[in-house]
Amino acid sequence: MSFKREGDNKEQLQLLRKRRIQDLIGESVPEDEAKLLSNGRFTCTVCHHNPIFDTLDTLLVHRSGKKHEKGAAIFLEKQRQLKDLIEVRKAEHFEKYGNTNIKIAKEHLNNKHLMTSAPYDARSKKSKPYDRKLKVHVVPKSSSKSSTYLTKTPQIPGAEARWCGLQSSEPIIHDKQLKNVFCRKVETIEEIKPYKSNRHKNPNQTLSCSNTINSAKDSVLIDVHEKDNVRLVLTDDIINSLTTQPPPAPPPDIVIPNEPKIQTEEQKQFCEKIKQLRGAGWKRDWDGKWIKDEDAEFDSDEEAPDI
Amino acid sequence: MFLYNLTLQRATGITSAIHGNFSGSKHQEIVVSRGKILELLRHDPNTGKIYPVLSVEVFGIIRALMPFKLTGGSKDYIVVGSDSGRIVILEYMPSKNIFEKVHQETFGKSGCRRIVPGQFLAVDPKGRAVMIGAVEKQKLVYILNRDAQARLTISSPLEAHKSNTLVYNIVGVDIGFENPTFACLEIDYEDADQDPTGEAAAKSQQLLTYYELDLGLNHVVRKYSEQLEEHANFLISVPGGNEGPSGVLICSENYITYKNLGDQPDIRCPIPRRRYDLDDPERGMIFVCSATHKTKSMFFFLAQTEQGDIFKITLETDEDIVTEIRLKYFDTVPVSASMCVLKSGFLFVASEFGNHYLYQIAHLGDDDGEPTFSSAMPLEEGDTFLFSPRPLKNLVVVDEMDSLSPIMSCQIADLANEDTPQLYTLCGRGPRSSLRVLRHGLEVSEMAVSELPGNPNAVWTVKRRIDEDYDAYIIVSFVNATLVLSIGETVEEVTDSGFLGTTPTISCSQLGDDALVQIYPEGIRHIRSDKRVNEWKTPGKKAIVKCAVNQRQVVIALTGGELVYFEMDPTGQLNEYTERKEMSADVVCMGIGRVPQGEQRSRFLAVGLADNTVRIVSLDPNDCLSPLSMQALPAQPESLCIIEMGGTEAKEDTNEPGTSGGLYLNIGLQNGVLLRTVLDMVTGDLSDTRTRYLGSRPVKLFRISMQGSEAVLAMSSRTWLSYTYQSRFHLTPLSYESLEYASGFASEQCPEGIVAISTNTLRILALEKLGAVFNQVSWPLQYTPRKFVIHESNNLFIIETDHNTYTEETKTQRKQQMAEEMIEAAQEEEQELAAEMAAAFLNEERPESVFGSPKAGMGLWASVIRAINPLTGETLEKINLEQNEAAHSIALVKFANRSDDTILLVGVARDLVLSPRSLSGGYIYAYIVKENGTKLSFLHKTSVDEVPGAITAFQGRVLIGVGKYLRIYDLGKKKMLRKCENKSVPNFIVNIHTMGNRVLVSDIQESFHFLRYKRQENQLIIFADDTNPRWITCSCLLDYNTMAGADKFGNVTLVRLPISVSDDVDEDPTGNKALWDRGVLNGATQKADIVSSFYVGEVITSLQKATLIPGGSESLVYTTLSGAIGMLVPFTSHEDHDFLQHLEMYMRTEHPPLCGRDHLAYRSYHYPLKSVIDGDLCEMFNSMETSKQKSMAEELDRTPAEVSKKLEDIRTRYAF
Repeated sequence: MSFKREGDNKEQLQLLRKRRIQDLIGESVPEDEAKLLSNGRFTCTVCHHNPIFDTLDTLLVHRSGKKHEKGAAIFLEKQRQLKDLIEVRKAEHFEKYGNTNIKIAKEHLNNKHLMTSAPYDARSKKSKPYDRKLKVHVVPKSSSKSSTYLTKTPQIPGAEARWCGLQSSEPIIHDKQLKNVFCRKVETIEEIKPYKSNRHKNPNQTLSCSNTINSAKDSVLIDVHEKDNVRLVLTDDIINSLTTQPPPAPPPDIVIPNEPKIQTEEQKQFCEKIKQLRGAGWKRDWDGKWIKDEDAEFDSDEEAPDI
Repeated sequence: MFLYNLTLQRATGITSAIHGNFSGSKHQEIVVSRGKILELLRHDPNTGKIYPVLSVEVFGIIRALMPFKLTGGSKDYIVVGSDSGRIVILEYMPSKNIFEKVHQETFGKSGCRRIVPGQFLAVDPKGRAVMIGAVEKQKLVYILNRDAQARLTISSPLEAHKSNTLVYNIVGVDIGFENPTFACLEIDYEDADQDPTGEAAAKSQQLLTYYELDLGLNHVVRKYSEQLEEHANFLISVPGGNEGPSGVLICSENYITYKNLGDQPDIRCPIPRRRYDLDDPERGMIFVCSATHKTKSMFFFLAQTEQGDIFKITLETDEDIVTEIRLKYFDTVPVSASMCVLKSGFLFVASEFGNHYLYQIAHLGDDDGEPTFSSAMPLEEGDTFLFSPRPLKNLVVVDEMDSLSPIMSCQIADLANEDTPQLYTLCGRGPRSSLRVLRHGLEVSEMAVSELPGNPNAVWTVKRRIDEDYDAYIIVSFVNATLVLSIGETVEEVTDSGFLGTTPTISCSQLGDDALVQIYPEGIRHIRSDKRVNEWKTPGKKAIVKCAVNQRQVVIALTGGELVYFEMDPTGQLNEYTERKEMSADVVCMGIGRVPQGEQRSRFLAVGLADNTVRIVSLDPNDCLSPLSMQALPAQPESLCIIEMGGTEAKEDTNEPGTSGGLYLNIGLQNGVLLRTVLDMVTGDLSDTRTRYLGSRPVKLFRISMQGSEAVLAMSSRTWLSYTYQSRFHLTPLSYESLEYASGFASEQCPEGIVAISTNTLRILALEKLGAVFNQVSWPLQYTPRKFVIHESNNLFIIETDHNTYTEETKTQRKQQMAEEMIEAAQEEEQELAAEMAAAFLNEERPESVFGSPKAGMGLWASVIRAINPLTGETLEKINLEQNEAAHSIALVKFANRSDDTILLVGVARDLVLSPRSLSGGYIYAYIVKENGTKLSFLHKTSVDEVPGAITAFQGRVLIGVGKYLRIYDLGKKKMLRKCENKSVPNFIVNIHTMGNRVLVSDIQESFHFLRYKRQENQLIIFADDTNPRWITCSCLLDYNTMAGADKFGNVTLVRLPISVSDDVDEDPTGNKALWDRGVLNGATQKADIVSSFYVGEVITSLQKATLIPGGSESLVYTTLSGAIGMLVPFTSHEDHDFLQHLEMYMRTEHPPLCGRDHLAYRSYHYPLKSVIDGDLCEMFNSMETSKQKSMAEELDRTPAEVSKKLEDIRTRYAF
């Protein structure tokens, strides 16, 4: 088997080539001398005024400049001094306590070779190496706490409920707070995983999501959509979670009320019916009427279903 | 995953057969090739049976076979042309029963290549040289001679190449002791190759070329070449020298021509045709095979046409100049691949398809008043002689060898409700095809069944004298009486035998030279030949409970566990041994071996006690009745039997000495288990126990004789036979109802039979097909069966389709038409006569299974849908399709919108022409299955644009592969309604499997495609496929991700989707990405991995996951076109795999294949061998020499017994 590219799309090739070159150049810059910012631009950490560059090329041009070289000399000197200082501190600590375990500020080594994106791999799902939006990671203080809050608010499952529960019980802790600067950051190593469906990742969650919708709006999902004049889109996600997957056994201390379950049963039948109609070649047009798929065949006296 | 390949039944089809004196004795043997198997058959002129003596897998493809006898020699060698790129000369060693490689000369690359010799073989009739030819260009001549020690020598090859020629056939021309000459049927394609218009190709003519080996110059020259008028297909060499006129017969379309060098003019005779034949009259007639019979005074040829008619060809000569060819219609037999005329007056016909036959030539067809056709009769060009075929007259069927070849399809199921599943196979071709039900077991032929006055307990047979061949009496014991039957012309009761009739009998035997002994509870009765009777009475109130007897010794056990030993002295007196022996527990059973040849006594007595032990007691005078060894058992023993097995019989005709085998103690337990233990001949130690569960009842053992050696009949709920066959142990159940007691039986009609009792009947049984794994019940079918489905009522629905065939209806029409023509063509005055003849013609019934069906011409198809009960063979319903409708696929479907009925769908092609492929359309016939699978009622017919090649039920609807389109159909009111379609499968869909929402489609050229059905969007999307192009013939879904498939080249492959592959299209709810985003060369973006790959060597026609024995594990069973049945077995432990892999490795180096092909290269013929261990090679360990076995086992850190036990274990765990 050969890995020949299909077609003669030059642009795509150029893009790939450029990206690869960037990847390679990026490797040449030492990690602690430049930084990839969250907006995708680069900064030189050697020069004291931290100039910002739009591309790697301009960063490289800067790095070969006179100004930078001057700055680099100072930077190296500073580093050497810091090293000496650490040695001194260690020695002091050793004299006092007999060991050299001193607190050192953590180095930020999470910019992977200034790569703007994960290395190209045709099979993999593309994941972003950084997020342009500032996200606040909420870190629960201990794992035991997080399990207790669930038991407290069993009636409101779902993501929002978790927020509510947290707000009521604990102060919010997130990784941008100053006191977290010295605590070890939870390392989230970006792994390149083969493409995997979201559906099966957490069946618990999808189920609880749909439950929330049902219980909150207290009406059938379809009605809501029709009211809003939005075409019904039953994603595979929802249908499958409703029909094919049996609801996972709930944890013993959570009581799921009966009412929504009955609705799921109805829902199941309804969805099954819709699927059957789809399989039989019926489609819905923009305002919800059933129309025949032109690729499918029908009995001559077959009529549109009234659902 | 690692797999182990096991062959359950070797190929049964024959590709070529030769005959000669291979063992060097006067008897002629037949050597057949079955594709990759070389087999030696021997014919017993007394019984008329033909039986295999040796069967060896050569791990290569045998392309040509020739017998070769050196000048003045008496032994034939076998020259083998194979795909190994080597010429191999084999010699059969009757003493060791093996083929030995005498010479192996390499000349080219391996593989079946057109330019590497191996396809054609010809020998000089005087035994001086052999020519081996390729399809194109190359021919090599080897000079064979003998050295000072009279060993066969082979020269270096002499080339006789001619480029740009294709070869059709080569024969050695008999020209006496002049230089060896070979005649060769060739065509020169040089001009045709150069000419783009095709004119030259149309004009190109065949050449008959003579190659002469100049022995003086050691050189081959192209002596003479001549263009032929007709296109010929093969040559027959005519005896020469002092025995005939020499020259060749050229068999060509419609003519047979005699040619010779010198001033001999060509003699040409048309091939006669059948009178009033329904065949296409434009079709030419050819001979397909021939056999030569030659004695000192005369010779003739038998040549068979492609309709099966044999003609006897004789040549009239005038001083070595042939003046006339005479043809005489001989008989009609199945169309054969090879025929052999044996010196003993038998004709062996190796059929192209179906069973092989052995005929006795009862008449030579001279002076029987039937017309002879001669070349001297004047005929116009294009005109021919006519004859009427008739039933056999000159030949008498003597024996039939079952052949499953070709197996078209097979399914394994337990429809008969026995505990072991049966194999339902569709076999054969055209009118000789059949549905065969295969069951594991030996076929039993019932010679006689007679009722007895009560329910007997036991039965024995005894001879009157030791040197008699046949038994004289059958002794039947009842609860309170004994019946003696004498065996003669008839079997009748006698009272003068000397046996005591008023008491039950425990055992009886022939004693000494001419005496008899009867053991009954109260004593022993010794009957001398002069009817004097000596009685020994039991002491006091004790009775005899058990006894063991042979020709010289009697051991009895009295109540309380006391053993008394008697031995016969030289005067013929039965003497009690001075001491008696008290056993520690009650004696449950006893066994004693036969007295070995030339010895006074059997040295060991086996005693089974109630304390779950078996003890070996010495009977040697030095330490008489002293215990030697003991074995503890898991349950109480029921029966014991010591036999000698594994030795060979001495043969008088060849003066081969018999070899002695080992002693085996067979122990039948009350829980239905049989143990086989090796009994040391010297020390009496017990070792190497093999265990096998036989059935639910206690196992009773009986010693019988099979093919001259001893065998054990073990009776539990089923009867089993433990015997050695071709130096391998076999333990096979008998396909017969359960029996209670048995004994060996020998009479004139039945030299090796069994007499057995079952309730109140006495039965005489014979086992004829030893070595066969399956016994078969066969039901005839009309056309070549293609596929079948099993209905829930256990009835089968079969589609039968034949190309080049008329349907019944067309046939009657054509007959009618021909009859009308006959009358019309007649003169006014002959009209009446013609009408009579026409009426006779119309009424004439020729069974097509014998005479073949008329060939209708290309593009004419006939099909039948048949409902059959596989157990009774009753055809419940037969639907004839119209002429030119060819049924290709069948399925039983339950539709969601009509859930009460089962619908039978049949995919039919209309007016299909195979080459160049065209058709006028296809149909899907829908029938409702009614009355519990016995009736079909037509529902509707849907026309489609291509051949519906595969149908499978899918989620209440049906998936149909219509040409390359995969479609979902629903059942409509007037026709099937197409609901969804995928057009991305490249060529033609041959197979569809489904599981959940996954659909696995096999393409005819492009291997597997994995699809997902998205119900929401009603789409079928290919999400993965295979990386290799495979020409899939059949496939089997193993699990959700794994698929097993076989291709038409004989490879079995397992492919599996890697874990990373996803059939999800979540990111892309429309599925358009997966629909449009194609990978390289339009394949799917995700690919399946190859798990394992193995070359079987024969075209595989079915694959199924099945359990073949109750309590066994699942395995993948395959059947092949040549009639073989095999299985691939998964390894359960790494240890087993490791061990067998090592064994396989050693076997490859220590026991290289017979025809010179490298084993690993052979198993990697098309794709590299992966993760499969070849059990067929490993099991050859058992047939190796003992010294080699020992050294190899040593390398593996085992004993030879352990190795063979391991091999047996893995086989019995899955199959038989």
